[in-house]
Amino acid sequence: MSEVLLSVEGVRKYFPVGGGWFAAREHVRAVDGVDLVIAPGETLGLVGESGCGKSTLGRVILRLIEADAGRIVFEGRDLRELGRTEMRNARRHAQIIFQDPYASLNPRMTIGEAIGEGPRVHGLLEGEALDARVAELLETVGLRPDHAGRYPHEFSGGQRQRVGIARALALEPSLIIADEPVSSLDVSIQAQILNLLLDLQERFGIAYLFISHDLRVVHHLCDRVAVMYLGRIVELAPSAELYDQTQHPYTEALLSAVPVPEPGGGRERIVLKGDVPSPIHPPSGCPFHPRCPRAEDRCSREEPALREVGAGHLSACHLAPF
Amino acid sequence: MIRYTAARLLQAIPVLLVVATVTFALLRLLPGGPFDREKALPPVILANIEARYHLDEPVARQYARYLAGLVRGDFGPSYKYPGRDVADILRDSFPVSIQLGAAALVLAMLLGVGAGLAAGMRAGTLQDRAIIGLTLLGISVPSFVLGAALVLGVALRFGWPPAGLWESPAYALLPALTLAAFPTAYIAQLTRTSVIEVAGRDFVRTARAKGVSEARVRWVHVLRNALLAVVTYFGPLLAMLLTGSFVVEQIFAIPGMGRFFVTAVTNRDYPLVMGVTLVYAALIVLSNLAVDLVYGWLDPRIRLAGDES
Repeated sequence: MSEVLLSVEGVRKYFPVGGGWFAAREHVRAVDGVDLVIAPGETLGLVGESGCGKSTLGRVILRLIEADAGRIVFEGRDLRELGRTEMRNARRHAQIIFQDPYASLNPRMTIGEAIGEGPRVHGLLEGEALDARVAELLETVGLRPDHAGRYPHEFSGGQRQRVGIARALALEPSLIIADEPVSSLDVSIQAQILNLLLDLQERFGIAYLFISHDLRVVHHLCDRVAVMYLGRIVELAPSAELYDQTQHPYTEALLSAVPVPEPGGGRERIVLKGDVPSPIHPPSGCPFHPRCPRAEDRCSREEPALREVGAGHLSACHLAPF
Repeated sequence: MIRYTAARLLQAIPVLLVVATVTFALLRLLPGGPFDREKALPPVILANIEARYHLDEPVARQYARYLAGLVRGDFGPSYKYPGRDVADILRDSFPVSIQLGAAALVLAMLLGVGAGLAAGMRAGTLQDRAIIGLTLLGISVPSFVLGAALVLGVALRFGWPPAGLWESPAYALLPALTLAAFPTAYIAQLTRTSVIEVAGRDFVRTARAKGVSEARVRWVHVLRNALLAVVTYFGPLLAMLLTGSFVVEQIFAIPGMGRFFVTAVTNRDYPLVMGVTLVYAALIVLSNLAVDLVYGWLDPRIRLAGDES
């Protein structure tokens, strides 16, 4: 991979929990040393079950949550070292689409105002030029330009998510972090929004970090996929390869849970034992070993590193390649 | 909008009629009459007085007579202040109460919202805690204590502002402050909670992600959404300030309506009680209407049906 748009190196985010008179303050290890690289125009999928830290990672990258450690190099600059004003300027090029299209729009702003606010506060456009841009954006995402004066409550969920996308596009970003952009929508609407995202990528060359827990969606959309478990990346591979030549038992289990639309077809279901361990006290060694069907002795002692097990295929399993 | 306002004003008529009826009935149910004295009046004199005020008629007749008067804008005579009309008394005292209430309202809104923002925007800091402490004080200290303290500690010690009566704007200072203390503290807490709540909402995060400056996030995205809670309180507050000034008017010897309200009840001055109650009821109806109109203006989701704009 020659060009790099975003490079995340050793990023960590621990949230403090508890800490009373008698209890010591502990930490949830939401993101525990993550490395990622995204090339311009690429789509990197980030999957994992609820609570694995994928949304936190997305927000940490944009500094909506401050990381505790690590480097976030975007377009050649470490975002964590930027001052307020520089960071605000950097936000022009990296935008985010949120999961909840209802809550992420200000109820007292027309959608035209919400979409136009980005270009306006960055001093890019104003007056008629801004109105024209808003109309153009609405058209781009498949909404009627004359709806700019309406308020968010007048739209359906899918329409609001389109507004959210138009809002993110307004600043012509080179990277969009899509944080489960379709998981609160109907399946039929999901497909529309996903196709819209693909279409926009083709037209504007935007790179996506696509956060999801839906493996089918990720497979359909992404060039490469990273699998996250307990705040760490356990496997990262080109999309097709991840599905065909899985090199981590956790990914195997996830894939076996994907419903297959053929009776009798599909893989053998791997049912994991137990619950996700507490991210406050992650297990020793490999964090997955208590639930892993392949676990060996050393898995509970030695922490596996994320290493290359095939061309561009990384796995954090002692036993890989299988 | 105009149609809506007119409709709401029409709806006020039955409300006021119910208020008048209930008040009338309750007054007649109270034991004692307007002309009971420690030393009973001679029966002949009492009968004469009662005949003069039509109190010897059946109650239903008296009620009809009163309503007929109201329609003509006649609130009847005061029993306690012979020679003065109730309308007359209201004309003198109502503006005073309104001025006092309005002064307290402005004070409470400015100080309360200001303090609430100062606390809520910096939640958890020393500044926040200091303001919370002050609001607790404002809510807990009753107005007769605060009023007396202000008279003693400020007016009598420094000779300014004046400790009583109602002659120039300076006379409104201490009573308005006393009256505003509770609502100020309440509004401050309301604003603080609401600011903190809104600041945690998703769309505020969206605004930050757009690269909107922190100042704009606060003043445009947070403030406008947070103020709705305060507007909700505006109606009850208005009513409370206008009707609740009795204690304050007493402490500062202010010739307002609150004073007449209570003395009129103890004196069984039927027409005066009726008059004051109706004025208060009308005020509350109007303030509720005002709040609903402000609501629609602040929150596009509550825009009235049929008001396509």
